[in-house]
Amino acid sequence: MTKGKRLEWSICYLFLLPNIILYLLVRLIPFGSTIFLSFTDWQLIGAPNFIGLQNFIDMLQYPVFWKAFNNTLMFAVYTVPLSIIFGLLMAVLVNRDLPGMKFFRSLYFLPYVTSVVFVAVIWRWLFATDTGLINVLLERAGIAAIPWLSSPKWALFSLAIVAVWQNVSFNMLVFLAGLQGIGKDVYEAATIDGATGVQSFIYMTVPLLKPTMTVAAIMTTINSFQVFDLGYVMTQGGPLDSTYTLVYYLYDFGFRYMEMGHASAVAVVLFLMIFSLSILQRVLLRER
Amino acid sequence: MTAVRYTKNILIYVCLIILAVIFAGPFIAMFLVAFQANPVTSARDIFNLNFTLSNFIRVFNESRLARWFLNSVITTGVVTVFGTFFSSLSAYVMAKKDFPGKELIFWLFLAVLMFPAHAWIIPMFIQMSRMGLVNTYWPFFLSGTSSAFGIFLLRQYIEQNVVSDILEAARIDGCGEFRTYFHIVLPTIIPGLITLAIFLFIQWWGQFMFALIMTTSGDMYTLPVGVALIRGVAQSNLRFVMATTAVAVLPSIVVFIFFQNYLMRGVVMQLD
Repeated sequence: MTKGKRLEWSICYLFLLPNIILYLLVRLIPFGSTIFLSFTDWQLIGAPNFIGLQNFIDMLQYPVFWKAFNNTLMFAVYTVPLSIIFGLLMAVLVNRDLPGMKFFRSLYFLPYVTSVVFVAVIWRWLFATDTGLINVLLERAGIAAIPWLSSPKWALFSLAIVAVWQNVSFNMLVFLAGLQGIGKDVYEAATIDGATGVQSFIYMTVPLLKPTMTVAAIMTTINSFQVFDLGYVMTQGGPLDSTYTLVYYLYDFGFRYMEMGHASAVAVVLFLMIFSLSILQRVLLRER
Repeated sequence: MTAVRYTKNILIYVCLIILAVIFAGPFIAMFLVAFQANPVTSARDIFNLNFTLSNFIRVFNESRLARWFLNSVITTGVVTVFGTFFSSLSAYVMAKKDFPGKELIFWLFLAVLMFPAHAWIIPMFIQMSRMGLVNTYWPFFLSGTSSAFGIFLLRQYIEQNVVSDILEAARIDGCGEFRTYFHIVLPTIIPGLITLAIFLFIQWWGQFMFALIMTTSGDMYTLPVGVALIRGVAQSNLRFVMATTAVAVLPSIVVFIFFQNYLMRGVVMQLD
């Protein structure tokens, strides 16, 4: 081994040093601690006692955990298909050379760049039952007011509408990139063969974009599982816990009740849910 | 044929305009309330706009908005600049160099990329509060300046845009590693750096749960925390809520207008 080689390697490690130190300090060590704490009853004071799987057993017996779990799943069920379908339809709509198209595309992308919190504050008012803009407009159209955020039946779905509004913004671009990869000649051939627009959408666009749709669906699901900001700002988890989600549960136990052990156990559950989806996404991306 | 095409185009524009209302409407409604001189108790009140700037002046004078804005600028600014720089260092080495342990480090970065925030947030909070760093900018700096997403984005960009022959030529000419990096690699990847910087800006300007946990004093709130926690008298006054939100949203809109092409390219790069 030459001296030059060794020098070059040291420089490589030097370049990597900032990231590696930070990762150990704020990612890997805390992650290990989360797993350790999930087996303890630690409440921020005193020493943690090892209690085995007790936190997980407790969790499975708390109705409020199951409420949060179901709400999180339902939120994903509402959000993911709509985000994919509307994202795809919008991508098809804006994938053409018409005057002003670039302007419209940019406009539709605006929700994606805005923080969920700011968006949630705006929609909290749009959705207000008596005074909100949406119900006022519905009233002018002669439609009865909808209790968007004040009814346990509607609240989770209303949050999902806001999430879809933001996700579609991103998914549209993802699908647009996919569409531009397909190429115009395929469509021209189909048109010559007499296919209508709807036919070529169903029999060509959808099958060709299937891999992209899968990846977009996984990304949207990962985001949906982590929903917190919308519920915190718009409904505080209510009414009647109807928008109480897993991350909200983690936040309450960890940072309000100071039950660090129990909160860590929830963190482990969430981690497993999201990490397995992430791995699936990696595998699918590699296959493409 | 042309008549059919004509009708079709009109239909397309109708759809485009309806969508424009859906996607831009909430922001327009926000500004309409924020600029309204009369009290807004219901959405019925916004249709006759009586323009004023006084809501903005009042929220700056009577709330800690200016302080929150400053906190957001400092945290987001540092994270954006250093996060981009540190990522580019790692990305360059991962894309162009071979050294023992590279495989291990690759898996480390990939694992970190797939960790959701909840996997580390609880111990990190404990760590920070033991070090007395809650209610300082340090949690933001420490957490934000390491971006696994950024490393992978830039690694890909370097692989596609930095030619190995040029690096080799520089080495033969006696150009040291640092000079090669600063004078050849960095200037070549500026578009990639801008793309990453914008992603980091968007992510940290809007960062909520992390900021909510790491700040407990009103003076240290960032904009998302401040806006989310507007309570009491201010919350009942919709004009102030929307003026505050408008101030918080505006920098994102400005960044978006100037850099949207980089941002859109970045979205596409994530899928490769």
